[in-house]
Amino acid sequence: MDKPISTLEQLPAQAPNAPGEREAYVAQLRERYLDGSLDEILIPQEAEVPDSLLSALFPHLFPEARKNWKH
Amino acid sequence: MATALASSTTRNNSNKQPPRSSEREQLILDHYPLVRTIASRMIRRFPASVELEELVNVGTLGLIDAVDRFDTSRNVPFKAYAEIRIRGSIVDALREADWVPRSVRRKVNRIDSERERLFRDLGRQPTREELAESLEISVEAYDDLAADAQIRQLVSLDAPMDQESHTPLSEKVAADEEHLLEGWMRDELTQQVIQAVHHLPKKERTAVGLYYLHGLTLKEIGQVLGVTESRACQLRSQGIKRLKFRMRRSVH
Repeated sequence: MDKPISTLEQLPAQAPNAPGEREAYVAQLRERYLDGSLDEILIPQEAEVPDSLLSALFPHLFPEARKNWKH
Repeated sequence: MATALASSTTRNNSNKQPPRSSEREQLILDHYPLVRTIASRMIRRFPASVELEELVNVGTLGLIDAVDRFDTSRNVPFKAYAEIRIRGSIVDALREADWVPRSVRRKVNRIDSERERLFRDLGRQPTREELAESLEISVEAYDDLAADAQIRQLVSLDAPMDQESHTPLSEKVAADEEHLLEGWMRDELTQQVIQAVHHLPKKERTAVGLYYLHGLTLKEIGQVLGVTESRACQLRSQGIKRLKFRMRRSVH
């Protein structure tokens, strides 16, 4: 584990793309899942719901987002 | 203001009930400055002959309309709703009134038809001197008419807002309103979606949260949950299905 779990709270919600950092991020999430603390950071405070989720839930309201979303 | 509005926005289960007359008056009084602000902003687009007080008067009617029609069940802030009604009533009034004297319209139509005729005959745009001669008026009189035509353009909601923009004022107002509505809808849905995600079963919540909020791939979600990629995909799909079911009343 490259980074202590506590620093995860300070990371942006989006997983980093840099090689190594991303694997460490996923590993920290896995640890949090196992120790039951993942929920604390799963939905960040003041979370912005991305277009992709709004579009998945309300395709008739957000059709453009769906078109642009890469699965 | 806060008291009246707070009591108004908490009438969620009785939204068909009109506000009590004291509440109604308070809402109108509290939001009257908003009418003046909007009217002052809108009047900049109109000629000096249009008076601010006229816009304020029709805007106030829009505010009263907003108070009477406000539906608290939509959980939309009253102020934002009132803004739309105020601006809408000003735009409607401008459309209906056509604040240009009939005599000016007649003259402007005359210029237009002469210009068209000369364009056909000459094969180019006529000069102002040619137009004046054709209309049998002096160049100075023609200039006055052209100035009136300019005013008519300014007042027309279908005319472009300014030299640089080709967007008519009516479209701009509609686009602003649409933008505002979209903003409400998005904010409101965001809150509801977040709440609904919190209430999903743990694995589905994790799959949805990691996929949409953290940007993880299904393979990575599988690693976090200790399941296969296809199981992670299934959990995410189930979560979305459950969210859709729970939120179906939010948007219909």
